[in-house]
Amino acid sequence: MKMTTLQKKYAAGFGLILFTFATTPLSAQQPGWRGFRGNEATGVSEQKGLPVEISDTDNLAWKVELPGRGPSGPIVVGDRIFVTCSGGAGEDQLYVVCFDVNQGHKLWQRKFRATGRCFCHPLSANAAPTPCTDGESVFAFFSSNDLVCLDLDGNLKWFRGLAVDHPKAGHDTGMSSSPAVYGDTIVCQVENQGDSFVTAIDKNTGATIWEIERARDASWSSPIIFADANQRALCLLNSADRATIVELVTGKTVWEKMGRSNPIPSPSIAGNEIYLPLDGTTAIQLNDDGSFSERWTSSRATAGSASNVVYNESFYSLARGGVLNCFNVADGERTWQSRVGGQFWSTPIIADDRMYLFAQDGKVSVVALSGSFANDDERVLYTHTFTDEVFLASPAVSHGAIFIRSDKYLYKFAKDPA
Amino acid sequence: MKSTEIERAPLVVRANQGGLLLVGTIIISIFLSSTARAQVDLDDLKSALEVINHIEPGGVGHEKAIVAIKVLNSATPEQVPVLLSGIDGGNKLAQNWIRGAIQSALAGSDALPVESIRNFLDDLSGSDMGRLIAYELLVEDSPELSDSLLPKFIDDPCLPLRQLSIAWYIGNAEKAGESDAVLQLASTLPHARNVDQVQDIAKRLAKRGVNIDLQRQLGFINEWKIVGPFDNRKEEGFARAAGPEIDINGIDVGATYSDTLDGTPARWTTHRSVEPAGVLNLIDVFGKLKGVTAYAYAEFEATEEADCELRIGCINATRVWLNGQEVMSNEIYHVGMMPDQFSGPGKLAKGANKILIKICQNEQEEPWAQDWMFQLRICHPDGSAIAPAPPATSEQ
Repeated sequence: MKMTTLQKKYAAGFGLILFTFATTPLSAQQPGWRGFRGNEATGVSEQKGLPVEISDTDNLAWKVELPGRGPSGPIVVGDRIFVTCSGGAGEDQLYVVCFDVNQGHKLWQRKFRATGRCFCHPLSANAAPTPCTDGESVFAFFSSNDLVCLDLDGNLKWFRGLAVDHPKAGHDTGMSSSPAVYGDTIVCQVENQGDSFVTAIDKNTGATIWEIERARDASWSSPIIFADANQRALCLLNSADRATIVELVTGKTVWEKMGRSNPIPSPSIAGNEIYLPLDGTTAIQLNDDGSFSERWTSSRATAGSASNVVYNESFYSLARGGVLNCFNVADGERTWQSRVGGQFWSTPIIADDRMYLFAQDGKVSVVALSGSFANDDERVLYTHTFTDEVFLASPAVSHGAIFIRSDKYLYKFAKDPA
Repeated sequence: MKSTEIERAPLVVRANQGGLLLVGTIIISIFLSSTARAQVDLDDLKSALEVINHIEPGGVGHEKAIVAIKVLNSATPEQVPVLLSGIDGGNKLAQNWIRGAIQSALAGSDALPVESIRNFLDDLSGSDMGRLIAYELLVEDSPELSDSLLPKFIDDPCLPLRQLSIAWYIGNAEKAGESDAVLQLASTLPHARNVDQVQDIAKRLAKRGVNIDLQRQLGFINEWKIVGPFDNRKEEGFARAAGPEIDINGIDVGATYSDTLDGTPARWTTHRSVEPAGVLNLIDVFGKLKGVTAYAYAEFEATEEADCELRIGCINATRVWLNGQEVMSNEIYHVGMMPDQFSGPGKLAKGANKILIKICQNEQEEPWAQDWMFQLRICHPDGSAIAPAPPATSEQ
């Protein structure tokens, strides 16, 4: 495949970028919570001292009303927190809102109008994908396949309507794949029964770097960008019938495994291990020579709609009915199970040796991941239900606090609310 | 794999314009750093607007646009009407770029130039999106203005403004007594263009004992000649002509086709939808089949030549022809169905107009992938039904 001038430019630039990536943990460089499941898309935070009790009165630092709904999660850069929302009669009004992390003051709000298909399941909304940031810009993506780039002060840098290029891109439940950014490249996964594709976009200009056609099947899974042992930037894509790893610079496939995938949750990466929601769960190892080898497949470790979270030699999976399963990463065998209860679209986060789970019906649960329990249901340390609120988004952890958005509000919970 | 070749993007502005914009941006930045925001030179604004309005799909034009947007973002609140005037009605991408700049121009300022924005809103020659943004700015500034502005938009050419107005009238009707509500809803109905709003008004009237013929109100075609099933195994039939599509300009509803799925000769049969939104269920016609194609045919008698839109709702893949010309192609299966899901522009000739639809069912096995149905309406570009010349349809 012939590389375009733009691709060559990126290929040259990545060597330097990846040297930095390989020698310094990304999370240490970049405080905050910069995309779906955090800076490294793991759903794990190193923050300590987070509150256990979370309610309208317990450890509530602030609560602010949002201009619209959205399953998208908040992201944090510096002392600013960003949320996307959508509204209007046809879900065609797109919002990006910025608040002060400390006080919850609204710093700015921007509104745009969708250029693509806005239709979603009534539970979902156009603002389903979680935005991402490189620390200088916010990249807000919507189910209508509109991609907005704003600086941290809300000034528009560029706007793309990917559905203008691909008018048949869309799904009747709505799209929800969150974009990922690394170096100068943003990746958007737009897999559906119509115009199905994955594209890499230049974060500086909004121009397309590459685009690959995908099978006409729906996936709500989010791309994950990572580097292999050879410092090669790669992007992992989870689709309905396969998992694919492509080069970030070119979009060229370097590895692929077919199977029966769950296209709703996203894969997980921890160290040199990849956990795919494929045939249950399939563990893939990244070898030192840049190759990949399959370690095990467990049909019992089947993720529901929330993504698995990997932490301390275990991975945690939410099955239907709100059953939290803990599996051993070594062999995929289950080590314990706890009945949390609830229906989950929100991927839980792990911090402070605890898992924080937010169910659709407004119920928050906090589960202990360490310690000995006679009955694993006793791991549930705390529950509280926010009445008349829907939680679909995954929370963010930053500034010693947990941030969660419901269909109405954005909340900050911290041990020292003042 | 496709790659956008940015270096080959057509130039859309004068060769030296990018340089001028860059110099302008630097000057503006220096100036802004030392004093309060000053007005951007009008020529610079207009040049920047021209660049933005030439943005094309695929990110084409972005290299110049990312410079131009900095100029627009530096505009002052007083210059917002210039930005509104610069919105090109036909470029949905550019509209959002300029919308973003307008919000930056107003950021941190309470000095909304209300009078000039109001003048812009009242001038029907402005672009629809520009006028909608003008309305939103005024109402965000003074929410109470909506009650005085919205009643005026009931026949507005800007459909989003009209939709807001209709919603206001519906809300007002619901506050009235029952008999007044019926009168108000009935008088609002002819002005509505949005399908959801038309259906909403009809539902509210039905609750009060007044039934609306939605098929007629929205222009759904309710009687179709149907023929099939033809082969769509492996979804290969979508692109392959069969039956009446082979001689698309010579459709004969008395013909028999032998290139069916199992070779059984197929003839046209007539079917009428009694569903309010004109949905015709092909499973009722053929039974539950997979990997098949059916054709639907209707003739629409137009009183005069006119621009029109064919708007289809279908959970299966479709192609639609008007008088032998393809007006839309939707190769997409089982992603929901709603009125006006896809649309294509066409031109009606005076007299009989021939509409042919190809409806392809694939072989997906999931329970939610079994439906095989469609609905189609013919309307003016603003969404209002085009009434057929009487008689609309022949009786069965």
